[in-house]
Parts: sequence; structure tokens; C-alpha cells
Amino acid sequence: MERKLVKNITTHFQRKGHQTAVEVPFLSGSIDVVYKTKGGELVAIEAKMSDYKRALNQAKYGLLAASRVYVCLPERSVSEDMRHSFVSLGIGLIHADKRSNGGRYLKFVIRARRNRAVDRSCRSALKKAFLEKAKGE
Amino acid sequence: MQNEIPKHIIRYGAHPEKPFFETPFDALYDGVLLNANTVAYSTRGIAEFLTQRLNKPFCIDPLTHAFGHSPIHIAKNTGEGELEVRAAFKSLAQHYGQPVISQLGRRGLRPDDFHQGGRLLEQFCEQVVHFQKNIISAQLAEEGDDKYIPAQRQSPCLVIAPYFYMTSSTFHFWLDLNKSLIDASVPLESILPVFGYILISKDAFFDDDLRGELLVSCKGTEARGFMLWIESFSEHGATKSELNKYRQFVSNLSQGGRKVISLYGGYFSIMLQKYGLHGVTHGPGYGEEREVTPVGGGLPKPKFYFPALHERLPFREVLFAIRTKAKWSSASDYYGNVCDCVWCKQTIGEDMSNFMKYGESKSGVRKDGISFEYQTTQAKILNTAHYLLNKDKEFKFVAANEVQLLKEDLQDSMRKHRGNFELERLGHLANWLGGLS
Repeated sequence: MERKLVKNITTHFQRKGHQTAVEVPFLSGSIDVVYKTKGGELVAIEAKMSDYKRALNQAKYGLLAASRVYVCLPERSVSEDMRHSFVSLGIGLIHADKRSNGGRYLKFVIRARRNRAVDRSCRSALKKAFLEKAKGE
Repeated sequence: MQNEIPKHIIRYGAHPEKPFFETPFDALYDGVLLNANTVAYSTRGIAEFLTQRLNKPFCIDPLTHAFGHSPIHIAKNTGEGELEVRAAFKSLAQHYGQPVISQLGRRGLRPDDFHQGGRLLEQFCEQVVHFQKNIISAQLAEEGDDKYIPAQRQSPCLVIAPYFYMTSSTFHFWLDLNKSLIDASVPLESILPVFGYILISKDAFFDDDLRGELLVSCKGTEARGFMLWIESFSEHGATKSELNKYRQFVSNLSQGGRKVISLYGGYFSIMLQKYGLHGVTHGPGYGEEREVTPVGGGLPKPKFYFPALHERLPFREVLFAIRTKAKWSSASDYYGNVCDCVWCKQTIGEDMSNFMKYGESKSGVRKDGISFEYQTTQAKILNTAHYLLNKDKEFKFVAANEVQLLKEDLQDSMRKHRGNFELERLGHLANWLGGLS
């Protein structure tokens, strides 16, 4: 199920003209989806079917290297606690809408804060891993 | 002159670890512990390593418990659906004789096996003690090298009585036999101290009744000391009550001058030297807790030792804490707040981006298809060196300071890193404080 979600995410951003890569190795783990914006920034997305806390715990490492970080979950209600968890970290929330398809599949519920504390060496490492992965896909 | 019994001991796990025992790391520990199967199988290499490359007291874990488990734990798959006992254990079994040989590969030993009449138990103890005491010197004599090496360096600093693993369900089967093995071993040796060896499951150890019986049994022997391995006991995951019980047991057992050595210990065990614990053993970069099986082997996971928390943590967690939470961006921030050991200064220099070297890893896939990450060789060297330097610092810090200061240091660490790490990474410091009270 998560694989299908990852596929839908990559299709969404590819249709918008962004270069994407999946399971990008980073710091002894991997980031589910990374895409490059037209401005050359890297955006990291952690996809989960449930358990937003676990998703946030994994996604947060993306803050070391990516310009923006998102968690993507199937659509559900967002409690105040949940919203606060995302906002305090600066991580965005994307809902995957089960009913629609194509370019309107994903809904940006909370915008990710632009990450100004990116670690230079981490960004280089992510960029390198992203380019290698994107080449192979 | 007898070798002093070391306090900071490193367990020799595998031959690729040799560089971490030699210069410059040899200044960072006091003694070496080797597994008997490794010594039995690689005697020549080990003898040369111990006597010519190191100049450290050593002792040999006789690993008799390995013959008390199902043979699958010491066997390998031949590929034809059959199991064959691994060569190192076959070699060790030859040294130990009966009753090990007759059951080797068939089943694990039982207490009854030692009560078949005659002097079977005594002979078994003789073989086990003889192996530890003489295997290295015998190898050197065979090569004609014994003349060039002082006798003291050819001999272990202590010998260990045979022992078997006790769980909650097998405790009463093995307790008396383990005591008998110690009682039979002590008279065998008039020069080297004879130690007992407590290998016990965590739930058995923390059962108050069983622990009480164990203490009475151990104190009823003439052993000069005890090696202690509480299976899978994590000092980082332990409750305050468990840490208190551990401290009290060690304190009690060490009365009367008995030397108690923790075989898989971390910083809490090092602090217990203030409460009677004589020494602590760990591996080069790992080994502060262990399960009984597998017997030997296992792949250490890639982690960075964070000094203030006295714990090996996933590298990315450390990096996140340092860079994103604490926002320490410069090398001087790192030296002032994380670690200023010689190794970190050499690795990082003035460029904080060099810290990434500690986290370099590669991907692999196991035979069962599960992917895993492992450190690059270079990262492993960096992390191990950093770990050993910090371990040495911990021993020196504890030796130089009173308990009150050790407690204040733990409190300082909690305060300082409260905002940098999740509570689950700090909780053990509070429990350690409670465990010392």
C-alpha cells in the first residue's frame, strides 16, 4: 500500500515537470521520495499509510538536507495536536485523496516551512544520492 | 610476579579487531579477555598477538556454557540439510574432554552428565583450568619462543571455573552444579586466582528470591572473584529498581575482597566501581550488553558514541541533535559541547562537515532479502577509536571523582541535552541517578 502511495506521489510531481527519485539513501536510512523543484531545490517526502508520529520521526532527518520536508498520509482529519507537531518542526503535510486521480491526487494541507538551516555537507550528500537514483529510474 | 587483575578490559571478538588493541589504543585499557573457542582454533596467532604485540594481562573465557545449549547454536549448516559443529568448538571440545565430547553435536549438556560416577566433574574442571592456564605457554614452547618471553606474559592473570547458563526455569538445575564446578576448580590452582562465572538470564537475576539464592551460593565458595553476565541486561533500558538491585548485588558479592567483573558493561557499571565492582568489560566499539545466543558472532550496528549520554546512538540522530536542534554549526561548538577527544579533533579539524565521516555507510542485502546498512571500514575505524577514547575517559573520570560529582555530571548532561534529544534518549540518566542512590 505504501508503495502505491509512493508511486502516486512520484507520478504527481513528474506530471508537474519535476525530476523525482524514490528510496534515496540518506544517513543510514532512505527518503521515500525526493523531487527537485524548477528552482533546483530538493524536497523530501516521507510516505506512510498511518501513524503520523512515526512518519514525523523519520521525516525530520530530511531537515538536515532538503529545502522543504513533507509527510504524505491518506486523507484524514487533522487534530490540533497533530497540526502543532507538524508546524513546530516546520514539516508540511500532504493528504493523498483516494477519490480523485491525476494532477489533483495530492492536497497540501500544511505547507512546509522553507528550511534555512540545511547542513551543507548533508545537502551535498543528498544531492549526490538523488542524482544517482534519478539517473537509474 | 603475578599479573594484576585488570579493571578496564576489552573483549577480543574477531581477528579484524586486532588494530584496536595495539598502539595507539593500547594505552586506553588494562587487559584483554578472549573467548576459548577463538584461542583453541587460532592458538598460534593468538599466542603471538598476546605475547609479542600486546603487553597486557589477559584471561580466557572458557565458554563452557556453549556446550550446555542445543548444538544448533554452535553448528553450521552443511548445505545438505545437516548441521555440523563448528571447527572452533570441536577443537575446544577436544581440550575439555568428557562429558563434552560424548554429547557434542547430539544435545546440550545437563547437570546429570557430571554425576556419572568417578571423578568426571573434577576431571572436567582440571581440563578447563589447564586449558586456560597453559594453552598459550604450550604454543610458545612448541615454537621455541617461550625462552624469549617472560613467564608472566605467557600466563593468564586469572582462571575461570566452568559454568553453565541459568534461566528462571533452569536455575535450580544448574545452581548447585555451578557451585560444585567452582569448588572443584579452586584447589587446582595455587598461584592464579580462580574466578567463578555467573551467566544468568535477566528475568532470573531480577527475581528477588533467585538472586538471593545465587548470592548465598556464590559467597559459599572460595572463588577469589566472579565474572558477571546478566543476559540482555541493558543499562540504558533498565529501571531504577533493576539498577539498584544490580548495584546491591555487586556491592554484596564484592564484600570480603572478592573481585567482581562485569562482562558486558557500560558507564553505569563503570560508576559501580565506587560500590565494589572491580572491573568492566566491553568490546571495541560495542558489547555493553549481549544475548547468550548466538554464541560468538553477530554484526555490530553502525552507531556513534555520544559522550554525555554514554550511549551509542544512530549517527543520523546525533547529527539531527547537533545541527538541527542544538544548532551547533562550528567545530569549536562541537568540541565544547559534544567531544574534544584527540580522535575527533584529528578527524574534524576546523571543518564541521568532516563529522559526516563518522556516518558513512553502505547498503547490503541479507540472504533472507532484508536490506541493512553497515558502516564503511573507514567509518568503523573512526567510531571505534572515538568510542575507546571516551571509554578510557569514563574510567579515569570515575576513578578521580566522588559519587556526588558523578551524579552532578549526569544531571548536567540531562539539563544540557533536554532540548536536543527525545526523552527516550535521556531517561536512562535519571534511572542511573536513582540506581546510585
